[in-house]
Formats: sequence, C-alpha cells, structure tokens
Amino acid sequence: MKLLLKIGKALLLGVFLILALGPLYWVIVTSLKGSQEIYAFPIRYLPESLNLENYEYLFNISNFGMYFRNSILISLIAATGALFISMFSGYALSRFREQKLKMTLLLAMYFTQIIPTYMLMSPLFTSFAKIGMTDSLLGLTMVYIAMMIAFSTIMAKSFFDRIPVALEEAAMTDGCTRTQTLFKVVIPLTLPGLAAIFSFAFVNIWNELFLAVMLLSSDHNMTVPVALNSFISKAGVSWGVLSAGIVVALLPTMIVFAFAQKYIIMGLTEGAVKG
Amino acid sequence: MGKSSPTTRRNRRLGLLFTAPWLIGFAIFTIYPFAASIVLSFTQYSVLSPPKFIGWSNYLDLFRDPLFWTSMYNTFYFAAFSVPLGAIIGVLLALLLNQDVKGLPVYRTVYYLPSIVPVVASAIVWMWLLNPYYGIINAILERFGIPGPGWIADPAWSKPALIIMSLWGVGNSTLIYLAGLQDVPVSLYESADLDGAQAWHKTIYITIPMITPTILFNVVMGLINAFQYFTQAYIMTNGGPADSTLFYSLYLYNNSFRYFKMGYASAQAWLLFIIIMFFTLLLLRSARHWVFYAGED
Repeated sequence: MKLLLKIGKALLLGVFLILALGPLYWVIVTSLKGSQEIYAFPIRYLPESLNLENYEYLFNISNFGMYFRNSILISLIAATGALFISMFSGYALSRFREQKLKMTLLLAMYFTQIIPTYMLMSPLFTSFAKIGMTDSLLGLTMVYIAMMIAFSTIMAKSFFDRIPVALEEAAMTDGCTRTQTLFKVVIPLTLPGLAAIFSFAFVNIWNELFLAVMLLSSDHNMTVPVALNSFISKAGVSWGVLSAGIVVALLPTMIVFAFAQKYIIMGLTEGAVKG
Repeated sequence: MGKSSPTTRRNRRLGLLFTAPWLIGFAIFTIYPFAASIVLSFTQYSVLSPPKFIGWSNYLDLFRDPLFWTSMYNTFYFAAFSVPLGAIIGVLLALLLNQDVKGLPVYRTVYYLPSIVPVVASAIVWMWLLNPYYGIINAILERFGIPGPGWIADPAWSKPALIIMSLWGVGNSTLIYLAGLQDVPVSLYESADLDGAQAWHKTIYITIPMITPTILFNVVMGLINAFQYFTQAYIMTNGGPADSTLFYSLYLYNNSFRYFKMGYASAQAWLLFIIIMFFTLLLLRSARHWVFYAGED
C-alpha cells in the first residue's frame, strides 16, 4: 500500500514535469526542423537532422539581431534604474520610525500594484504623444523603470527588514553618516537580495509586450516581444522561424534565472507568505 | 527630548530624499494618468481634437453596447474556470512536492519555468501546439482515436483552450503554496501522530486550514489577473472567432488604440477597476468564514 502510494506520487510528479517541459521541448524541436519536416505526416517527435536554416533566416533575413540588441539595452538600463531607485526607497521604508508616513507610502506602493495598466494607458499615451516621447526607446525605458519600482521596493524593504538596526547604530556611533552606513554596512549584507530584484526586473522587462506595442512604432526600435508578435502575421515567417525566435528570446531569461533562481524564488515567496 | 530633535528631523529629511525618485515617478506615471482617466471618462476624445465634455454618456453607452456585455461574459467565464482550477492544481502540486521528494529543487525549477517564458513566446508556442492540422496535441489525441477540436479556431473551444493554456503557468502559485506549506509548524503533525491520525486526515484537518491565508492571497491575485487577461487573446485570436475571446481588456484596448475612443475606453477602464475592487473586497470579506489565521481561536 505504502509502495503503491509512493509510485502514484512519483508518477503524478513525472506527468506534471512532462506537461511543464513538453511545450518547451516541442519549440526547440520545431526550430531545428526544415520547412518540409515541420508539416510531415505522421508528426515527427524528433528532428531527422539538425537543421539551422530557421536560425539563419532569423538573423540574416529578418533584423532579429537589432531587436535583440534593443531589448538587451532597455532591459539592462531599466532594471539597473529600478534597482537603484528601489534600493533607496526600500531602505527608507524599512527604517522610517514614523508609522503614519510609513503606512501611507506603503499603501501607495500597493496601490500601484493593483491598478490595472489599462486605466493608465490612454492618458500615458496621449501625454507621451504631446511631448514627442512615443516611438522612443528612452521613453519606454522610463515607463519600464516606473513599472518595476513598486514591486522592487516591496522586495527591497523585506530584505532590509532582516538586517538588524543595531548593526547600523554601531557603525553610526563610530562616526559613519547614514548614507555611508547604507553603502558600507547594509548593502554589502543584502547583495543576494539586490541581485534578486535586478533579475526579477530584468526578466519582467525583457518579456514585456503591451507597453512596447503601445509606445513603439518604427521597425528599428522594436524589442524582441514586439518583433515576435509582428512575425505571427508576416508572410514568409514560418513556424520554424517563429520557434527559433522564441528559443533565442528565452536565452537571456534562462541565463538570468539560472544564476539568480534561489533568490528570485525567495523574493517571490517573501511578500506573499509574510504579507 | 523635544517633539522632533535635530536627528529625527535629519532622518526624516533623508528618508524623504531617498523616496523622492520613486515619488516623482509615482506622480508622473501613476497618479497623473489615474486622475486623467477619471476626467477623460467623461469626455469624447479621439486624440486628434481636444476632449469634449459629455457627462455620463460614455457610461450609459457602455450598458447599451452588446460587445461590452459579450466581453464581460467572456471575462467572467475565463475567471470562473481558470482561477479555481489554478488554485486546485497549484495546491495539489505543492502538497505532492512537500513530502520530502528527492530532487525537490529540480521539480521546483521546472514547474516554475513556464512562468518566466515571455507571454508572446508562450502564446506562439500554444498556437503551434493547438494548431488543428499540424499541432502536436491533436496528433496525440488522434493516437487515442479522439478527433481533436479546432481549439482557438472554434468559438466553442477557444475559451477552454485559453484556460488550459493558463494552467501551464500554475507553477508560479505552486511555489507560493509550497512556501506556505513549509511554514506549517511540525509540532502540529507530531501531536496528530500521537493521536494516531491518518495521512489524509492530517492533510484535510491540519495542512489545508493552515495554508488558507496563502490560498486567499493566490486567489485574489489570480482573480485580479484574470479580469485583466489580455495579451494571450490579443496575440492568438484578437478576439475571434465570432468574438468568443473578446475579453474585457481586449475590447478596452481596441476602443483606445484601434477606434481611438479614448473617453469611452477610460469609462470602461474605470468600470473594470470598480469590478476588480468589488470582487477583491468580497473575497477578503469572505475570508473570515474560511481562512484560518494561526494565533486566533
């Protein structure tokens, strides 16, 4: 009976494993198939030979390299910006002694989190159009920083909360100013947490489609998600090329995730369980 | 000491200085558009000409707009299935993972992977998987002698297809449930063991009640997200076939950026906000009947 239960559990976990990984496996396989093989009947679960024609098309015929550069640039700058700003605001929120002020600011954070983006889009778009900031990578970067700050700050605050105040008081008795203490004592202790904030922001910005579609229009400004979306209806872009595009789009996310996995999961569950 | 000593004042000033960049961004990117959308919702505004005040007309027109009701129905349909199914599967998976499974970090990582796949990518992946003619899902169904449906090409199957697809991202909430499960004090199980409790009794009478706060959190977040469901439908079906996947936010987007009815769309956005608030508060209110907080009796 015990053994049967164990086997049942293992089986279920395995089934879910296949369901989670299956779709990703299938994209990789599709990206490596030639155009004939993709539509072969009966369906081929393994590619016959490794065929790189889809990747060649992606980088030689479409401008995917340029979109990739745009995305990397925006994600790096915006994630760094969000981290930098939330480091300060998270620290302040963690250490404010005045409860009323602290609660007001925290409420503002949560408010930003629950407001539907769709409420903000029409006014944002029209005011961006007025000052000529539509179709600008700089404008989009600013929006992304603003988008990520609230969550990043909430995460940062929870990491700073774990650092004992006594540590800072000791440094300050020794003559450090508040800002020096922050940089010399607190930040070195929260580096893993800050890495999590950066990774989380990077992944979210890298994946973002909606705001980019709304604000960008010219081809040379496109980010990877916008480009992939435009490929769907583009003549000549096959399922193979789309799959190759997805595989390439997944790479940076996977790399960041591989490095910061532990901290991302920690930060993610922190807010939910304790809050 | 006085009411505010120089140190306290200096600390407060520094604190406000530290929060200033965020506060400025908050004012520009949240408060301003939020306030502007209230004003816009009472105007007729097509971007090209200045907004014209028209009172409650946008709101009244919404209630007479059949597409508005279609989008409302589709959204409630989606939420009614995806949120409870997501919670059930998420809890089930977390319970399975919580029984000292060998290689837990591997499972945890793999289950979470779909959540970090870009939405565009997962939408395209599923379009390909669900393709009626060349898709692998119908190919597998055929193996078992089941004729596969047209999925997102068939009005009867398009919403179920999107719901199934949404369950692929269930790993995100599984992780949060798992964190909740690992917070359940071991002492509770030990005293149950002394009383000779069965494994499934422990699950029903200890584990589930102890994680109800986490369930509440996930269900609230799930509901907020379900009401704002947009990107997948925008990419995969654009509302079709026969408006069967025209969700609330998609119709809102179309009104803004396809028909340039910014005022109308703002009214719609405000209604969405009120609906989300209503259901969130309703859920939080219901909490006292089914959510168990440790430390209370």
